[in-house]
Formats: sequence, structure tokens, C-alpha cells
Amino acid sequence: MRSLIVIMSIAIGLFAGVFYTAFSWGMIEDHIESSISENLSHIQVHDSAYDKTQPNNSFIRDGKKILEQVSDNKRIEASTGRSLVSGMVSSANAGSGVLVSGIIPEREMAVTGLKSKIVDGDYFEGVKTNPVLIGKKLAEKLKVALKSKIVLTFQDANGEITAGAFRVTGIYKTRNSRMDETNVYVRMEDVNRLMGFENEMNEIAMLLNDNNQLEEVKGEIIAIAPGMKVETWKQLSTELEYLVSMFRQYTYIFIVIILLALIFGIVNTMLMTVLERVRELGMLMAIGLNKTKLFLMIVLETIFLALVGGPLGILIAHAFIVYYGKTGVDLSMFSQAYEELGFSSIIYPKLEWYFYVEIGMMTVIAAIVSAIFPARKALQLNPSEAIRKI
Amino acid sequence: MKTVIEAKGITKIYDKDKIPVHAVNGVDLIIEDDEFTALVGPSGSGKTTLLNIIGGLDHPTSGNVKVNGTELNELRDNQLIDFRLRNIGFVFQSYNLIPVLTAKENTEFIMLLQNKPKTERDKRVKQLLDEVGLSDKMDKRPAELSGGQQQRVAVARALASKPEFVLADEPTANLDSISASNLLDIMARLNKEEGITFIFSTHDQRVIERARRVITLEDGKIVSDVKKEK
Repeated sequence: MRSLIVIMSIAIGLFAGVFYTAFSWGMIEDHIESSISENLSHIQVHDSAYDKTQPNNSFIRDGKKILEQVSDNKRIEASTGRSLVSGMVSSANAGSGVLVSGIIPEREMAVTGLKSKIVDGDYFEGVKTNPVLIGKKLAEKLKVALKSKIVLTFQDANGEITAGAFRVTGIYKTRNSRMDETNVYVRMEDVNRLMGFENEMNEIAMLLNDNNQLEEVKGEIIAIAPGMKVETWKQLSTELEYLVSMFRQYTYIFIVIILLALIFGIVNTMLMTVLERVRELGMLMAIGLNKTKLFLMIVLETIFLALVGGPLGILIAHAFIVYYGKTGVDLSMFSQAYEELGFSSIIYPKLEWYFYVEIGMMTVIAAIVSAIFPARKALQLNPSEAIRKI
Repeated sequence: MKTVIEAKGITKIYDKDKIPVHAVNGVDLIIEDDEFTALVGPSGSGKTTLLNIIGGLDHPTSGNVKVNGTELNELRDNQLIDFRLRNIGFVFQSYNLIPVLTAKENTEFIMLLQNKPKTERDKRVKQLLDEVGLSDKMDKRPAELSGGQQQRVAVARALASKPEFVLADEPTANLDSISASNLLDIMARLNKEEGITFIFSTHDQRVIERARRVITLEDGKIVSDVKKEK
């Protein structure tokens, strides 16, 4: 019974630790993937003087030529160019600061899947002159609907204030409601006309076939666009990289807390085991079980319990991870809060195989550590007194 | 006759710094092989303490014990445990068998500690359980055996290591008269036929009657030492 309690506590502790880790990683990976596929892309090219807080001030002169060369790279799944300007959007009712993205609609569709995010209206269709896509949240803020007219105001390449009237052709909604409130999409040709650009653009974004080829492809792009700032998503979004490392640390802290709780649980139970078996241990010492063997006996007993409970907990967690990895954990009741943070409300837990190995080894170490104190207690027994204990 | 145990000036004082209790007080004792000796006396007379000191389970406050010429005081803890393993058999009042092991495994355990090969272990366990009349109970766990049967397993276990002598602390105290009589028969036969030395601490008149030497202790001192004719 006592052994069963130890086994179950190890199994439940590890199940909780492993599943929580898989859940966290699922959430983070989903966030990274959606950030890459909907926003950052794998690699971006900018002018060396590019400042994302003031995109209007720098541009890539041979943008179109570089984009064509990038498109020829087989390791690049899709690529697009953008003219980005920060400015103001205003309707008859309200105004707001926005980032205006001048895009190439067909290419943008392949890179960010923007078309699939349209919830109302069409993707640059139905309006011939100056169509604009705005986020649902911004539409609510500006109190505009399809076909409504909005005015975009920003600085042109010469630093002069310029403005254009645009008509809402579609309303989109992504998982990130903050992004929906601060980004509007227009055709590149329309924004370039207002900016005074011809072949220029200030951003080239590309999606790779394989994230593992990030650094290699980056090297190839540097060769195509010398002197330009070529950055991977990790460099573009340091907060995302920070988030990953922070979650990694949190995960380990959480696992350490679980293992500490486990250690105290095992110490408590094994101490009870020793105290309940004082007479038996005294007899063993009396008839000739030496201290090394007695110590090993208690340590091995604890390790065996961990070797039963540990894999059991890990297996149950793995089964849950496989199941929920396909169906997802639905947290839609908290969807608003998650979307504010840019996370999906359906989480698909996932875990790399090496983590199972790490947690397995940590459990065995925890078992050994927790056996030391009870084993030392056993060594302190005096056999002549222990064999007479009631 | 060969001297197996030679104890000189054994004194054991408990609570030396508070109110000292002389559990054993200057005992000299020589035990020779083939003896079937009972240490008797009222509760608190020092029987068990003396037995523990002779068996190397406890250290005397002063004096020394030699077993087959080896001074026990000079052995370190692990050496003493190893010495007990190879030279001394123990039978306890409450049997002290390992509950999860069968009669065979309980008997065999001590030979595992001695690293004896399996064939030797199997042969000896079978022989010993046969001698104590439990060859048909080899696969029974202690909970499935009567008190007398459990104590017979304990005797088999004590003999499994082929010790120089067996120390039995109140071996019949928890047994009914038939079981006690059977156990004493077995031990007396082993003593007579195989020359195994037995030393008991006991109040049991049945044991005292069967013993060939009766040493009486009072207040930690030997007050009489009677050897009966064989």
C-alpha cells in the first residue's frame, strides 16, 4: 500500500510536470508559428538604416530586383515585398495611429495568408481605386463598415505630409487583436504613388520551406542583397526569442518544484518505511547485513519505486499529449484574454523526445537524493535495540 | 574441549552520566563448544544484555569478549557485522522473519549475504528445513506459519551460515508448550548430533530443564553456574 502511494505520487507528479511542459511548449510553438506565418516571416530584408518605429525614412532601392532573385531560391516557399509607413487613419467618426502596409496582394496571400483572415468583404476586390483592408477591431474603433471611406495620412519620402482617401474593401481578423487594431493593408502601388516611390519598397519578407535552414538561407540572401539588413525572425522579434527562453526557464523551474515536492514526499514515505521496519532492519544488521548493503537496499528500493512510478507518469502524460496534440485543448472560454496576447485559444501540446529522457533522468536522481536521508536513519539503528522494538 | 567464547570482566552501564544502571557487572564467562547453556534470572538481571555483548550486538562499557580468539572490541562496525555473519547464529524471541519472503528464502537469505553459490544454498536450505521438520512448508510465508513453525524457520536461518554457536534470546517465550517442546527437541538434537553450541537467555523452566549448563544472573552478576551430567 505504502509503495503504491509512492508510485502513484511519482506518477501523478510527473504526469502533471510533463503535460504542463508539453502544454506550454504547444502554446509557445503555436505562437511562434503564427507570428512567423502571419506576421514576421522567417527572414526579412531591410535597408541598413531601417528603423521599424520610423519605416518611412528608409527603403530598398532595387527592391523589385532583389525580390525577383529571392523568388528563384528553391528553399524559399514564398516571398513578398512591402512598403511600410506609419501614419494616421481617420474616418468620419474617429482617428487612430496605424502602420500602413503597402503589399503585393498575390504574394502577400502566399506569405501571410492574409486573404484567409478576411471575415467580411473581399480581398482587394470590388473597389477599383485605393482599396484598403482593415482589422475588425479597428473597424469597430473607427465605426466604419465595408465600402466606407477612410483617409490615410503619412509622411512621404521627402518628409512632406501626404494623404489619400481609401475605401474599405475587406475586414480581417487575426488571432492577435492588437495587430488587428494597428495594421491596415493597401496595395503597394497605391502607397508608393503617395510616397513618391517607383521600384522601391522597404521590406522583403520570405517564408522558408524549413525553419532549420534559417541560417543557411540567410547567408544566401546576404549574398543577393549586400549591404542590406538581413534578419531572421529571432533577430526581428527579440521579445519572441526572450519569450521562448523565458518559457524554457519557467518550465525547468516548474519541473524542479515538482521534483522537490516529489523528493519531500518520497523522503517522508521512505522514512516511514524505515521506522516501520526497525525490527526487520535490526535483525538484518544483527545477522550480518553490512552498512553498505543496508544503504544500497533502501536506495535501490526507492529507485525501483521511481522506475515504476516515473515511466507510468510519463506514459500517461505521453498518451494525453498524443491525444490532445491531435484534438487540441480548447480554452475558448478565455479566448479574448489569449487573443489580446497573440495566443490561440486552442492549444496543441507537444514535446520533444529529449525532454522525456531529461525528466526520466531527473526523476532517478530525485529518487536517489530522497533515499539518502531515510537510508542514513537506518544506518544509525542499533541492532540490539532495533530487534526488540515493538 | 575448545573454548568458543571467553568473556572477561564484562560490565555494561546504561545512563552512565545520569543515574547509572549496571546491567552487567563484572562478568567472567567461558563457553566451550558443544554446550547447551541457559542464562537464567529474573527480568532486568542482565541476561539479554550479556547475550548481546557476547554476540557482538552491543559493546561492553568495560571488559572484553573473545570469540574463537578474536577480540570483538577491536573490530570496526562493518568488520563486526561480517564477523557475526560468519560466526554467530541468532534466534530472537519474536522470530523476526522477513514477512515477504518464504521459509526457504528466509533461510537462504543469510547464505546470499555470504555469497554462497546457488547449488550449495539449495542443498543446505533443504537439509535445514528438513531437520526442523518444515520441508513441506518451504514455500510458505511467515504469515502462513504458526508461531512454532516460524521459530523453527528462525533456527534454520540461524544455522544456515554454519556458525560457531547460536545465541537464542527467549526462543520459547511466545510459543505454546507443544511448539516449545518440539523446538527444544530440534535444538537438543542439533546440539547432540551435529555439535552445535547453543546459548539461551530464558525464564522458561522447560528450557532450563533441558539445558546442560545453567548460569544464573542476578543484578548483572553470575550467582550460580551449574553444569549437569550429560
